[in-house]
Amino acid sequence: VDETLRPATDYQSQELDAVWYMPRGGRAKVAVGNSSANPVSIIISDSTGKDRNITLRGYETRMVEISATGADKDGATQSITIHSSGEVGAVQAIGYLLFPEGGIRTVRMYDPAAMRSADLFATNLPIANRDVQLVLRNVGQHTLLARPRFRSSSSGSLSEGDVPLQLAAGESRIVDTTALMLRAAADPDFKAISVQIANSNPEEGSIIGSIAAYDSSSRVSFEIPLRDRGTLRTSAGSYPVRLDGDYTTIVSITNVTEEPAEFAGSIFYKQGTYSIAQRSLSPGESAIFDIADLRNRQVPDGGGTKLPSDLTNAQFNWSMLNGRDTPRLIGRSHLASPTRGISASFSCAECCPDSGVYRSVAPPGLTLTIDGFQNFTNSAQVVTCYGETQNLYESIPWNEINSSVAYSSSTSNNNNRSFGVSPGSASSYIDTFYTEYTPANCAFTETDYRLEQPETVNPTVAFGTLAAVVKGATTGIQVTVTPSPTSTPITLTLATSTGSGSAKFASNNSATMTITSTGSININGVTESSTMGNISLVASLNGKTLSSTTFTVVWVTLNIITSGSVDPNGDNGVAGRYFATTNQTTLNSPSIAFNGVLIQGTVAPVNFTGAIDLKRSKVSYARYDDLSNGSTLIPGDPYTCGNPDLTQCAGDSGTVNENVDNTPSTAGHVYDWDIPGTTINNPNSGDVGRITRTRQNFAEWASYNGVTVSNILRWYNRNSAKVAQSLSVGYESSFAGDNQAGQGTTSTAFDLH
Amino acid sequence: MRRLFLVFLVFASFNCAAQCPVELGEGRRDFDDQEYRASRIALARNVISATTSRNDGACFAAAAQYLGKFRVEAAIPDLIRLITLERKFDHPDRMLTIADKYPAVAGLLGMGEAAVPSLLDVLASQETTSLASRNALEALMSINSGHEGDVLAALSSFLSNEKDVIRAQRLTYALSTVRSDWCRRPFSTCEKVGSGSR
Repeated sequence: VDETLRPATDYQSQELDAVWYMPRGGRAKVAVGNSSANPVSIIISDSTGKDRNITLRGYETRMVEISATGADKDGATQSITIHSSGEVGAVQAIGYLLFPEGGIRTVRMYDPAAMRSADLFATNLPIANRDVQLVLRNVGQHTLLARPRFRSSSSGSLSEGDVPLQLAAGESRIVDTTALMLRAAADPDFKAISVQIANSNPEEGSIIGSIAAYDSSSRVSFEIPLRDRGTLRTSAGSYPVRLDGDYTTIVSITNVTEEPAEFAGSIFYKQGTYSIAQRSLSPGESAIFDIADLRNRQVPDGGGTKLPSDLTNAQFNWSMLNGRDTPRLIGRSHLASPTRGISASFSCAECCPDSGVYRSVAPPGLTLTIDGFQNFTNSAQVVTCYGETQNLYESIPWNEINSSVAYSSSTSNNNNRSFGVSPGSASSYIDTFYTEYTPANCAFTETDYRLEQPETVNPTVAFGTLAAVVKGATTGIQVTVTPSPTSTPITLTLATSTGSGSAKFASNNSATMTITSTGSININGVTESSTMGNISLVASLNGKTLSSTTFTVVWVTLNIITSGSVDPNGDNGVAGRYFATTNQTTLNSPSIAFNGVLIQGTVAPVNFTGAIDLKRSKVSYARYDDLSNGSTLIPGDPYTCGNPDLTQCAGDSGTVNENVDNTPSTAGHVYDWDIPGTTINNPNSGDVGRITRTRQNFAEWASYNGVTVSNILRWYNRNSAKVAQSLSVGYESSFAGDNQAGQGTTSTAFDLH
Repeated sequence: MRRLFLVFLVFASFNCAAQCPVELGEGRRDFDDQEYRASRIALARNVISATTSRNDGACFAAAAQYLGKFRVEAAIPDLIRLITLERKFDHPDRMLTIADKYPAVAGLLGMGEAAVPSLLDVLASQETTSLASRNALEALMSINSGHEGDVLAALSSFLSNEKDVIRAQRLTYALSTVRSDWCRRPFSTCEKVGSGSR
């Protein structure tokens, strides 16, 4: 007789029910025990309708013979109901059936109130060459339709011809299994079956049953529980394994839901642990594990471990995985020894399903080289409700972030390889979750997480900012190499992507060079760009681009305008400021004795958007002031810049947004206006005949970020003013060519000689 | 040394009283060397904030322009405070602009749009006929030269949020001045709003 030790907490009521197949001439006995210290009164009702009342003392067990009903040659159903006055779970019972020819079978008692499904299930019943005896009893309050479904334990395929059976409340009936047995005789796939009794009454615990396969030659009954889906506890199991002598241990696990269900397990033995790989079962599908076969064929687990060839005793543990709070699986172990005439079935539950799966990678974070690879491992673990950690072996189907940089693939269970493709950062990942059950009540939580393996592929190259290089000048760009130095030289290449324009490396006057470490690279602008950003700087290694940037070779052409509109092209953004200063729109003689001068820069490329400042310096000048002929230098004058670099002479630049429009227009124009000259303000009688002169030589250039981006434009201005008898100030024109501005230079002598 | 000497000569021509710690103009190093630029900015800010330095008009102008060039917005309050500080020229050799005469204005022009809120506040807080208000309006118009419509929009927006009656009156006056004077000038683009960069 096979019965599971069950705690009182497994029961929910004071009623126990059983139904079984009774052969003609068979006898049934039930052991009724009181697990409490207090006496309990019990009423036992059987199929004959007779009740008997007994009283059990504390901890007393009594055998009760169940009266036989009139079974014919096809047998009959027999059932009992036990009502107790004790606490829930105090009274437990188990029975057995004696066949008239010999042989024995378990009579199982069920507490319908504790059942967690309306349907019933059984897993892996060996039926080949055996009679299948299935009886059902409606223990609910309403008539129901019961539809037995038989599936092959090995393939999960469904046997045809399942006929629904109507059961009135309290009714018990034998199910006709003739079609099933014919199928078993003809189809090797149906040597063993799993069973589902689909119940039209959705009320949990409204039907109970009994199923067994009877071998009439050996008179051995293979009886297995026909039970409800159970609680979360029954979606995990722990069974003894015996393999000594001719003992076999076969574990079956069946998905009893209409959705896929996963499980994993382990076989614990003295020397180690054998891992049962994580597996998904489709609805109704069973997984069968013949432990002796695994041992004898030396089948390795996911980690390569094999069961010892002399293994005789072990423990099989399994658990639902990722099943949340729904019991999805039932399991059973069938332990048998033909020579000893032993056939035992175990369906011992665990306290809760395992928590997990907890996944990680080692080492976390990889540094790769281009076209190189690195191995890493992943681990997957579950923790039983008893706190034991079990390893799972699995192949990760990696997803990739930036697979053009690096990617990973599983090479075998828990082993992976990451490949570097191009420099940069990438990540291989899977989005997963772990489930955790509180051992006390199996309350569960589910946590999503990302298992991630970050990858860095070196060498990486990062360029600093470089918007433009001035033609004819050298500009540095910071190049950061990681790691620095790197063993393999990195090639830098300058190229023109479109149009015209060119640049070369200052170090070798070439368009290519190699580097191995971080530093500043100098680039010479050779010819100006025809459009903005058309020069590329590319870092590459073995033909693969590590990084790239673009820039412009820029140049400005200057010209001086001394007559006509201060806005000759309609794009001088500071023309209004000239008017605000002079109250006129033309450059010609804005006042006595001044000259309006406009310096126009034309930027190449015309679509360049960087700020171009037009700068000015004084190269030489002399100012004169006296009451005779204007030949007397004022104190401090003359000035002559001795520096051949005219940009270093005395600064005289105009103010941006006042004189200078440094934002290139759509035509590429930038401007600088000035009104050089001299005058005598508010003259009085003492100033009559006074002459003041100025002779100025300027240098003008365009500047981009402090770098001269044009030729130096030399221009001059010379003016003389005189106070008339009327105290008016007018031009003084004693010397030819005075009172004008223009390109070139002027003598700074008062008489222009 | 030679450069410093030349600079000294220039200062001498503007009657500078002491050697200016900020060289006139900016060079490549000011763009390429952040530490150097930071040190020059610090010097320029010292010039702006030190009363004695203001006696040297050329030095003050150089410092203001330098701060404007590199848009040191933290210097805007100092420049606003000194918006009426006039630089004297004994022998001017050009027709002077508002930025020549008032170096703080030159610095504010360099700041561009960052200076606009402070300039609007000057218009609201100073008498309409005051030099500060006139210079603030000139600076505002200069920053938006070629984009006078932006001044109208900024003034209108500022005015709509102004709760103080007196300040609102001053802003209304400025708005009226722009419409009646600046918008009628050649090259004005009062209809042009929100284009270009300044």
